[in-house]
Amino acid sequence: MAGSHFTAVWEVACKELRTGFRDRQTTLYALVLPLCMYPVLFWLMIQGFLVVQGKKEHTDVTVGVVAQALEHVTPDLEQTLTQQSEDGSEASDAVEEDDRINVVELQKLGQAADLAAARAWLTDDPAQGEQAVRPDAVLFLPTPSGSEESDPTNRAQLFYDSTRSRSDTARKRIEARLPEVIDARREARAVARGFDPAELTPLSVERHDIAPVEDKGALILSLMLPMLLVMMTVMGAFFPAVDLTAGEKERKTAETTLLLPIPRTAIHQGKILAVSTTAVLATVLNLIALGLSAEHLLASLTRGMDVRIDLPVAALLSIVPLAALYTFFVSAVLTGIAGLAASFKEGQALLGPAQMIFIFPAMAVALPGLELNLATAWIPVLNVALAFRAMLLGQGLYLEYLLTAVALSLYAALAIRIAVRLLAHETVLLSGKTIPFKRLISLLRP
Amino acid sequence: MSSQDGDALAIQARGLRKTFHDPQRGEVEAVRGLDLECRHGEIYGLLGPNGAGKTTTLRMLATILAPTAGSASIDGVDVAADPLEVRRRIGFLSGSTGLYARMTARETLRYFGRMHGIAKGPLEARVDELIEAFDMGSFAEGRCEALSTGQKQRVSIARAVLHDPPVLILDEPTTGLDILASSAMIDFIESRRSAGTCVLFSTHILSEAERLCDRIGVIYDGRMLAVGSLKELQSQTGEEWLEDVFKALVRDADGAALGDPVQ
Amino acid sequence: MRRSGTILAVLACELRQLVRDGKALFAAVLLPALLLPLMFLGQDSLEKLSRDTLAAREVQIVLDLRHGQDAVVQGFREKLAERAPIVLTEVDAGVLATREQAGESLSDDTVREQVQAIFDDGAELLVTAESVPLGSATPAPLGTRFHLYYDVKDDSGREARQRAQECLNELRETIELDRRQELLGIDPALGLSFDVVDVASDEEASGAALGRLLPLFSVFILIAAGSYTALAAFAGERESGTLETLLVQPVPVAEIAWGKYLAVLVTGLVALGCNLASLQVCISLNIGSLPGLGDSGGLGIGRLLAGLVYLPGCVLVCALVCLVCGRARTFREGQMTVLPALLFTLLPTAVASQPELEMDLLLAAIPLTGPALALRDALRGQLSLGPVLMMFASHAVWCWLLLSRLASILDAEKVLNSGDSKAELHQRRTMARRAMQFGFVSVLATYMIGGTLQSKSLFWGMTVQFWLLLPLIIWISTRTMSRLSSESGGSVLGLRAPSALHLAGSLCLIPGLAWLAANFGAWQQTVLPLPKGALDNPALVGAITDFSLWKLIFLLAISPAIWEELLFRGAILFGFRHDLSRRRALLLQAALFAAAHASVYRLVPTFIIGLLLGGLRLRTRSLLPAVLLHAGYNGLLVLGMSGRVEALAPESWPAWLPWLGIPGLAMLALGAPRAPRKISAAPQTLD
Repeated sequence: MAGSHFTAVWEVACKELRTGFRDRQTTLYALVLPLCMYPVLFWLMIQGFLVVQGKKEHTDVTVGVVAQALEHVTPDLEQTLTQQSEDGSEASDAVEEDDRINVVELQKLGQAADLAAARAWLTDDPAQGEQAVRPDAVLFLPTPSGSEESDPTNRAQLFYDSTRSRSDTARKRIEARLPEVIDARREARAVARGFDPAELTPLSVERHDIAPVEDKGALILSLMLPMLLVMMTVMGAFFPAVDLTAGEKERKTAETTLLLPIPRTAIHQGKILAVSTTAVLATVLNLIALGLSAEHLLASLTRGMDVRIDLPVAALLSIVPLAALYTFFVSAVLTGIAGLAASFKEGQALLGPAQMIFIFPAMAVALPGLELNLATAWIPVLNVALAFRAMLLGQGLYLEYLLTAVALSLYAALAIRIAVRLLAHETVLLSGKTIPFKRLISLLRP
Repeated sequence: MSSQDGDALAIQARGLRKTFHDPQRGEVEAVRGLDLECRHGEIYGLLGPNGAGKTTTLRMLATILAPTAGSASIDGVDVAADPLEVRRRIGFLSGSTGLYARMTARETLRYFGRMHGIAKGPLEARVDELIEAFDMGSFAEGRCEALSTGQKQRVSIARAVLHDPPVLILDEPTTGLDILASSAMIDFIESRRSAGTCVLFSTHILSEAERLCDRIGVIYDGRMLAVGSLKELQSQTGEEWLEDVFKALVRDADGAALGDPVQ
Repeated sequence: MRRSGTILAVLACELRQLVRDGKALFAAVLLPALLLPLMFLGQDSLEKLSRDTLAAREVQIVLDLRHGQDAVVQGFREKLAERAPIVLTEVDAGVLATREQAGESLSDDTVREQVQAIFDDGAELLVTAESVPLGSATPAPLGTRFHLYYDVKDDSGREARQRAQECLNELRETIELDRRQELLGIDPALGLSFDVVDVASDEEASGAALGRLLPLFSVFILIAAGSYTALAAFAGERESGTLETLLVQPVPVAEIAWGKYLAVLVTGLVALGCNLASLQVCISLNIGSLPGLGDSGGLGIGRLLAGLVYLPGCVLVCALVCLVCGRARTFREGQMTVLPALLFTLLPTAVASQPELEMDLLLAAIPLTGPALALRDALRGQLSLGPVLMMFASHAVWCWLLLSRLASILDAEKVLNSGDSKAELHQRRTMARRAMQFGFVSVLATYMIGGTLQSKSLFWGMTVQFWLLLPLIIWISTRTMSRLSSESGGSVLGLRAPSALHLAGSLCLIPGLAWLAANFGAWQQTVLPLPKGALDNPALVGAITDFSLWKLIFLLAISPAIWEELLFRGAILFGFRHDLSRRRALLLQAALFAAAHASVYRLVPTFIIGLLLGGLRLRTRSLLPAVLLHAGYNGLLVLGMSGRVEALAPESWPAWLPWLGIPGLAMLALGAPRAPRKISAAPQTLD
């Protein structure tokens, strides 16, 4: 009779799917919303990024220079600190007003005897008449006493206030430019003494990443996609799980379904199948929408970097069987739990915390050092995420993949079995109230 | 598909018991040893106040609930042994068997028909026939959620008799219906008699019971107080109006319960 | 009942219901507070675990340092050996060992193959060293160059590289120090090597860290908790029928709305309080390493008072939640909209986590961003009065707008016809709805399809977008509109001749508009400056310089003028105008037009132009003036400002040219449109 059993399951699933998607809200929120939401979100992020970046660049900062002796504030120091723009291009004299970005104004604050006095320029309010504006950062230049480079009294101090945004900006700009002055002076001295400046840096290091350009893109994807896959499946299964169980009770069609001349198990298996299908559909749609709109964002973020993000077709195809098993597992668990509820609202309340079980392992995937091996292949949820990551990185861990598949099949079968048992229980089916969790064990006992 | 075997009873129940576990009230015995017998072509009315156990009994017969003790059979098929077959032989209707909101009437009928294993060709013919018979032509293609109460009722009835069951079980079929719809339901039940269908329905509207039933079973507190035709019950209690008959039976039962410490 | 009495009564009723619903209370208010320490703990241990795992991992490094300078190589070996656990093996790297000698001839693929072959034995990092000449003199003194080969995908490889890099950095510092002393004597840059000192006190720093965290945190909690109450108060009551009962009481709807809103606000604030308390507990017990918070990261009285500045934000968020849930007809529907609402409120708030962003008047007025920035600044003790006042004022306006919408949503008739009233309303406004749908589709299609195509090829992308994509949408929308309104397609699109006066008038507007646009752009640059990198898009720059003049005109002036007008001022404006008032139709159409250009910098200019062009279409009852104005405006801006045609640059315009706009407007105002007004039964038609 297996054939007719499966036919019954199939029929129930088809009917649930058909009626589910006839609901305008479901189609709207499950299909249309992801397709629209991601592009909009990403667009907002990109625009926000542009606005922030623009404002940052066009903020002028004032850096006060305090020296023990004014001749320390040499012309080359002044020039370098004030005129170069951040991309390192030499600014010409005829620089346009609008092109002035990342400006640093230097204030020669005067002479100060020691560190504390220099610091005071930054923290204290400006005295009347002397300086109109408190500087955003203060650079204190000492008179070098000895010849020891590492002597603390020979080092300059850059004072800034991390809680003030302008101060932080000033610090960043000075940190970028001051080393240039240092290098320039050393080079000049070397040349003056007849040495090639290159001799000052006898040790150099070059890094070579042998990963091909596509692999770098794959690395980025492997950090995001597995977690997304796991979470989106859960989110996609959430709504139909509640709708098909608690929702049906609310709509008073639970009893009608029970009158169908098919085995009870077929009915509940059909529901789980319908939930799984919806979850898969939602995940795929979300990933497509995310992928298309993220392409813009990633392209602008990685512009200039030696990275190319390709569609990982092989990995996506290979993950399909594992993802399907995982989906069955998730759907069974969520449907089973939702079956305890008597109304949509209660169902939502029950499933909310239940989702956490899935979210936490998903986040663990981001840990470096965690990888798919013979042990982790047996942990549900985590194993499918790790397997996906490994596939994206092109690792051929065939034994581990097989183990993952076996483990997932076992878990899925077990979950379906328990869920169907739970759902078919009389109390669960017909109780007008939500069943508290603590009765769960007694319900499952034969 | 109705079996007109004169010997087998359409519905038979012996010593049916059902105990629920209610979180607030503890163990509740909803049905305490109930016997029931209905013959083919008979209209049997189950009469009783709310909480008497009518709905529970009917659900047990429809295989929705499993009896805690006792046995029941529909058309010779035991409900515990082969519930699937039982479901194929009954049509069930109650206030809580709603319609799938987002399917049309026709689709609903088709769906149930397929589940009953009716082949595609004959199924379509049957669905058309039912739509014709219940005058659903004007709204058969509309979603069930958009139908009025009377229209929904007609679709539910069509669903219940789609597979031409020999037994019809109806739980308070006229509750919530207006005069016209109620009257249509009563006409429908009466029409079943000539088709040879056994109709078991529960109600607490005494006028319906008076009008329709061949026999009446009075349920109170999970037990069957008395069974018989209207005349038999009248003579048993000595009252004329069914209302008074009922009250008399209840009084006796209460008295018996009080007087008899062991039950 | 007195006004405040009603509001309080509704408020009390809602709160009572919430409190009695144990599960909801737990889930809404207490659960997040309990999860917080768990989350911090979890995050902490995970980070620690991963760091320790990597640090304890044994990495295998293969070395081929034969060609480097002995002293340097020796120093490196010694340092590397200290970075246990580590396995060092000598290997012959073949051609890679003499890379510098080989020059540029080594291709990437060859390198990769060689390294892979070496890595096959289990190594994760290859280090080679070579002596290189320093400088161009002959003979030049020698230095050592190290090459590190690794695979970035491999965790261990990255760890190995990290360790080797650190050793080399240390080595380099020592060597360079000695070399400088040897060659230069006293360092000429002595006194310039600098240390960075943060003068902020611990308390201030922790306040700043809190300021980055709290706005997002607050929004999340407010929505999570407030949505429970809002769903129950609006959608839930609608479902259970009790809303109907409430609405037939002799009480103004607005007061009911206020009462429910206050219940949501109270719930949100209470939940926020619980969670802040939980946060405080975490900080005090040192659970989790909250970045930067340290010892003085507590939420003292001072900080809580400073937090009051976020009140407008709380009020606005709760109003938003109420609005979203109020429109839902069922609990289910409401629940589904909460997630997108959450995401859309988190985004403007997230802006506050950028420490370098300063709060100015513009940002203060943006809903949700203003309060978030104010909170951040308040917590680090740097609130400035002007922006804060602007924030309070603008948010009062936003809240008022939202709350007045809320009252109208609870209209009794709409609620009583629940489920059907919408249908009825929709029946009456089908065309406007269709127009909106087409508008959305156009915006999305332009952004996604057009954007993708343009990134592949600017010319063909724009051509396909304008000559294939838009016409397709126009065709479908025009057919729909003409079917729904029983008017011809030409009438829908406004394809009729305008009066000569109107035509002339619109042409006269062109220079004035372009001039205004140029000046507006300059002003906008001061308030909302464009980052330099944004203009460096190579494709765009290339296009401006490389394309021929006619190509530019075609792409940027003619194509948009024709097709954008046909779509926005043709089909879409027609649909809106059919069902809505003139003002509303113009505003909606202009909003869609601005959105389609997908850039926040062009938002305001395109919106205003959209209004103008729409007004022109309506006034002249013809599309042609709008098309010409659009084409002329675009052409003038593009050609003149890009410097391609000097004669058209704004600087060389005669001073009187922009003033042509005045007589232009006069011509438009005074002249009568050629097409007579059709007297039709429908109250609002385009003509």
